[in-house]
Amino acid sequence: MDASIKAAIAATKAEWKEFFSGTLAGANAFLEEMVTDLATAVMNGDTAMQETIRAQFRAIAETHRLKAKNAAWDVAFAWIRTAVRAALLAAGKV
Amino acid sequence: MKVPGLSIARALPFVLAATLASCALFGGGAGEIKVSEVAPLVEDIAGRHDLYVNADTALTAAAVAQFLSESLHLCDLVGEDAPKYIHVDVLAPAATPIMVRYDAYVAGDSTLTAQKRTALLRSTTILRDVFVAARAE
Repeated sequence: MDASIKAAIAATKAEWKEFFSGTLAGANAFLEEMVTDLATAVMNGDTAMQETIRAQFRAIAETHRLKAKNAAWDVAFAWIRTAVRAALLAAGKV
Repeated sequence: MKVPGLSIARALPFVLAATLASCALFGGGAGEIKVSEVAPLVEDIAGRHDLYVNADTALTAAAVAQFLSESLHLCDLVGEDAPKYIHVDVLAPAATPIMVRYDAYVAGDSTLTAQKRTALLRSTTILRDVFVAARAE
Protein backbone atom coordinates (compact mmCIF):
# COMPACT_ATOMS: atom_id res chain seq x y z
CA MET A 1 0.00 0.00 0.00
CA ASP A 2 1.57 3.30 -0.99
CA ALA A 3 2.12 6.29 1.26
CA SER A 4 -0.75 8.39 -0.12
CA ILE A 5 -3.29 5.68 0.68
CA LYS A 6 -1.82 5.13 4.13
CA ALA A 7 -2.10 8.87 4.76
CA ALA A 8 -5.69 8.90 3.52
CA ILE A 9 -6.62 6.01 5.80
CA ALA A 10 -4.85 7.62 8.75
CA ALA A 11 -6.78 10.84 8.18
CA THR A 12 -10.04 8.88 7.97
CA LYS A 13 -9.28 7.07 11.21
CA ALA A 14 -8.53 10.32 13.00
CA GLU A 15 -11.80 11.88 11.84
CA TRP A 16 -13.66 8.72 12.62
CA LYS A 17 -12.32 8.54 16.16
CA GLU A 18 -13.40 12.13 16.74
CA PHE A 19 -16.79 11.37 15.26
CA PHE A 20 -17.24 8.48 17.70
CA SER A 21 -15.56 9.87 20.75
CA GLY A 22 -18.92 10.16 22.49
CA THR A 23 -20.28 6.80 21.39
CA LEU A 24 -17.44 4.37 21.48
CA ALA A 25 -17.66 2.91 24.94
CA GLY A 26 -14.87 0.40 25.44
CA ALA A 27 -12.95 0.89 22.21
CA ASN A 28 -12.53 -2.35 20.37
CA ALA A 29 -9.08 -3.36 19.23
CA PHE A 30 -10.53 -4.55 15.94
CA LEU A 31 -11.90 -1.21 14.86
CA GLU A 32 -8.57 0.16 13.69
CA GLU A 33 -7.84 -2.76 11.41
CA MET A 34 -11.46 -2.85 10.26
CA VAL A 35 -11.11 0.64 8.79
CA THR A 36 -7.96 -0.43 6.96
CA ASP A 37 -9.65 -3.60 5.69
CA LEU A 38 -12.65 -1.57 4.61
CA ALA A 39 -10.39 0.80 2.69
CA THR A 40 -8.74 -2.15 0.96
CA ALA A 41 -12.12 -3.66 0.11
CA VAL A 42 -13.35 -0.33 -1.29
CA MET A 43 -10.15 0.06 -3.28
CA ASN A 44 -10.45 -3.45 -4.69
CA GLY A 45 -14.17 -3.17 -5.37
CA ASP A 46 -14.65 -6.19 -3.10
CA THR A 47 -18.30 -5.73 -2.17
CA ALA A 48 -18.55 -9.11 -0.41
CA MET A 49 -15.78 -8.10 1.98
CA GLN A 50 -17.41 -4.71 2.52
CA GLU A 51 -20.59 -6.51 3.58
CA THR A 52 -18.60 -8.83 5.86
CA ILE A 53 -17.04 -5.84 7.59
CA ARG A 54 -20.44 -4.16 7.82
CA ALA A 55 -21.77 -7.28 9.57
CA GLN A 56 -18.77 -7.22 11.91
CA PHE A 57 -19.46 -3.60 12.81
CA ARG A 58 -23.03 -4.41 13.64
CA ALA A 59 -22.15 -7.41 15.81
CA ILE A 60 -19.63 -5.35 17.76
CA ALA A 61 -22.52 -3.13 18.81
CA GLU A 62 -24.09 -6.21 20.36
CA THR A 63 -20.79 -7.26 21.96
CA HIS A 64 -20.72 -3.96 23.79
CA ARG A 65 -24.45 -4.14 24.49
CA LEU A 66 -25.01 -0.77 22.88
CA LYS A 67 -28.67 -1.55 22.43
CA ALA A 68 -29.83 2.05 22.33
CA LYS A 69 -27.09 2.97 19.93
CA ASN A 70 -27.15 0.05 17.53
CA ALA A 71 -28.44 2.21 14.72
CA ALA A 72 -25.39 4.42 15.14
CA TRP A 73 -23.17 1.57 14.02
CA ASP A 74 -24.91 1.30 10.69
CA VAL A 75 -24.44 5.04 10.32
CA ALA A 76 -20.81 4.56 11.38
CA PHE A 77 -20.18 1.99 8.70
CA ALA A 78 -21.74 4.15 6.00
CA TRP A 79 -19.81 7.18 7.22
CA ILE A 80 -16.47 5.38 7.32
CA ARG A 81 -17.01 3.80 3.90
CA THR A 82 -17.88 7.20 2.43
CA ALA A 83 -14.90 8.86 4.09
CA VAL A 84 -12.53 6.12 2.98
CA ARG A 85 -13.85 6.26 -0.57
CA ALA A 86 -13.46 10.04 -0.62
CA ALA A 87 -9.90 9.74 0.67
CA LEU A 88 -9.05 7.14 -1.95
CA LEU A 89 -10.70 9.22 -4.67
CA ALA A 90 -8.64 12.21 -3.61
CA ALA A 91 -5.54 10.05 -3.84
CA GLY A 92 -6.65 8.89 -7.29
CA LYS A 93 -6.82 5.26 -6.19
CA VAL A 94 -10.43 4.46 -7.10
CA MET B 1 -68.93 -12.52 25.40
CA LYS B 2 -69.51 -10.23 28.33
CA VAL B 3 -68.09 -11.34 31.66
CA PRO B 4 -70.14 -10.05 34.60
CA GLY B 5 -68.17 -7.61 36.75
CA LEU B 6 -65.24 -7.32 34.33
CA SER B 7 -64.96 -3.94 32.72
CA ILE B 8 -62.18 -2.63 30.50
CA ALA B 9 -61.16 -0.25 33.26
CA ARG B 10 -60.80 -3.13 35.71
CA ALA B 11 -58.99 -5.37 33.23
CA LEU B 12 -56.54 -2.69 32.09
CA PRO B 13 -54.07 -2.99 34.99
CA PHE B 14 -53.86 -6.75 34.45
CA VAL B 15 -53.29 -6.31 30.73
CA LEU B 16 -50.56 -3.77 31.41
CA ALA B 17 -48.94 -6.01 34.01
CA ALA B 18 -48.96 -8.94 31.59
CA THR B 19 -47.49 -6.78 28.84
CA LEU B 20 -44.71 -5.53 31.10
CA ALA B 21 -43.94 -9.07 32.25
CA SER B 22 -43.75 -10.14 28.63
CA CYS B 23 -41.36 -7.31 27.81
CA ALA B 24 -39.14 -8.26 30.74
CA LEU B 25 -39.09 -11.86 29.58
CA PHE B 26 -38.33 -11.18 25.93
CA GLY B 27 -36.72 -7.76 26.10
CA GLY B 28 -33.08 -8.79 26.03
CA GLY B 29 -32.42 -9.95 29.56
CA ALA B 30 -29.43 -11.88 30.83
CA GLY B 31 -27.93 -14.09 28.16
CA GLU B 32 -30.20 -12.71 25.47
CA ILE B 33 -28.72 -11.60 22.16
CA LYS B 34 -30.48 -9.18 19.83
CA VAL B 35 -31.00 -11.23 16.68
CA SER B 36 -31.00 -8.31 14.23
CA GLU B 37 -27.51 -7.29 15.32
CA VAL B 38 -25.86 -10.68 14.83
CA ALA B 39 -27.91 -12.08 11.95
CA PRO B 40 -25.81 -10.50 9.15
CA LEU B 41 -22.59 -11.84 10.67
CA VAL B 42 -24.03 -15.29 11.36
CA GLU B 43 -25.36 -15.49 7.80
CA ASP B 44 -22.06 -14.27 6.37
CA ILE B 45 -20.15 -16.96 8.28
CA ALA B 46 -22.66 -19.64 7.33
CA GLY B 47 -22.59 -18.59 3.68
CA ARG B 48 -18.83 -18.83 3.41
CA HIS B 49 -18.88 -22.07 5.39
CA ASP B 50 -21.33 -23.54 2.88
CA LEU B 51 -19.16 -22.50 -0.08
CA TYR B 52 -16.16 -24.23 1.48
CA VAL B 53 -18.15 -27.35 2.39
CA ASN B 54 -19.56 -27.64 -1.12
CA ALA B 55 -16.07 -27.31 -2.60
CA ASP B 56 -14.47 -29.79 -0.19
CA THR B 57 -13.91 -32.92 -2.26
CA ALA B 58 -12.56 -34.78 0.78
CA LEU B 59 -16.02 -34.86 2.38
CA THR B 60 -18.51 -37.67 1.84
CA ALA B 61 -21.94 -36.77 0.51
CA ALA B 62 -23.37 -37.59 3.93
CA ALA B 63 -20.94 -35.23 5.65
CA VAL B 64 -21.73 -32.44 3.20
CA ALA B 65 -25.45 -32.93 3.81
CA GLN B 66 -24.92 -32.97 7.58
CA PHE B 67 -22.79 -29.81 7.61
CA LEU B 68 -25.16 -27.91 5.32
CA SER B 69 -28.09 -29.01 7.48
CA GLU B 70 -26.35 -27.65 10.58
CA SER B 71 -25.67 -24.40 8.75
CA LEU B 72 -29.29 -24.13 7.62
CA HIS B 73 -30.46 -24.69 11.19
CA LEU B 74 -28.17 -21.90 12.37
CA CYS B 75 -29.52 -19.51 9.75
CA ASP B 76 -33.08 -20.43 10.71
CA LEU B 77 -32.34 -19.36 14.29
CA VAL B 78 -31.61 -15.82 13.11
CA GLY B 79 -33.82 -15.75 10.01
CA GLU B 80 -36.79 -13.52 9.22
CA ASP B 81 -39.16 -15.54 11.39
CA ALA B 82 -36.84 -15.57 14.39
CA PRO B 83 -37.87 -13.84 17.61
CA LYS B 84 -36.28 -10.49 18.42
CA TYR B 85 -33.93 -12.04 20.98
CA ILE B 86 -32.22 -15.40 21.21
CA HIS B 87 -30.52 -16.87 24.24
CA VAL B 88 -26.79 -17.49 24.01
CA ASP B 89 -27.33 -21.07 25.17
CA VAL B 90 -29.39 -21.67 22.03
CA LEU B 91 -27.32 -19.76 19.49
CA ALA B 92 -23.80 -20.66 20.62
CA PRO B 93 -24.15 -24.47 20.43
CA ALA B 94 -25.65 -24.17 16.95
CA ALA B 95 -22.95 -21.76 15.77
CA THR B 96 -19.91 -23.45 17.26
CA PRO B 97 -19.44 -26.34 14.81
CA ILE B 98 -19.98 -23.96 11.89
CA MET B 99 -17.44 -21.50 13.30
CA VAL B 100 -14.86 -24.23 13.95
CA ARG B 101 -15.09 -25.49 10.35
CA TYR B 102 -15.16 -21.91 8.99
CA ASP B 103 -11.96 -21.08 10.88
CA ALA B 104 -10.23 -24.22 9.61
CA TYR B 105 -11.27 -23.59 6.01
CA VAL B 106 -10.29 -19.90 6.07
CA ALA B 107 -6.98 -20.59 7.81
CA GLY B 108 -6.14 -23.22 5.20
CA ASP B 109 -7.30 -21.26 2.14
CA SER B 110 -4.12 -20.43 0.24
CA THR B 111 -5.99 -18.28 -2.27
CA LEU B 112 -6.61 -15.61 0.37
CA THR B 113 -4.24 -12.75 1.08
CA ALA B 114 -3.00 -12.55 4.66
CA GLN B 115 -5.05 -9.39 5.20
CA LYS B 116 -8.24 -10.97 3.90
CA ARG B 117 -7.67 -14.13 5.93
CA THR B 118 -7.28 -12.05 9.09
CA ALA B 119 -10.40 -10.06 8.22
CA LEU B 120 -12.46 -13.22 7.69
CA LEU B 121 -11.20 -14.85 10.89
CA ARG B 122 -12.22 -11.71 12.76
CA SER B 123 -15.87 -12.58 12.04
CA THR B 124 -15.83 -15.65 14.28
CA THR B 125 -13.80 -13.87 16.93
CA ILE B 126 -16.40 -11.10 17.08
CA LEU B 127 -19.24 -13.61 17.26
CA ARG B 128 -17.50 -15.48 20.09
CA ASP B 129 -17.08 -12.12 21.85
CA VAL B 130 -20.85 -11.61 21.54
CA PHE B 131 -21.40 -14.96 23.27
CA VAL B 132 -18.93 -14.12 26.04
CA ALA B 133 -20.57 -10.71 26.59
CA ALA B 134 -24.03 -12.28 26.74
CA ARG B 135 -22.90 -14.91 29.24
CA ALA B 136 -21.17 -12.28 31.40
CA GLU B 137 -24.43 -10.46 32.13
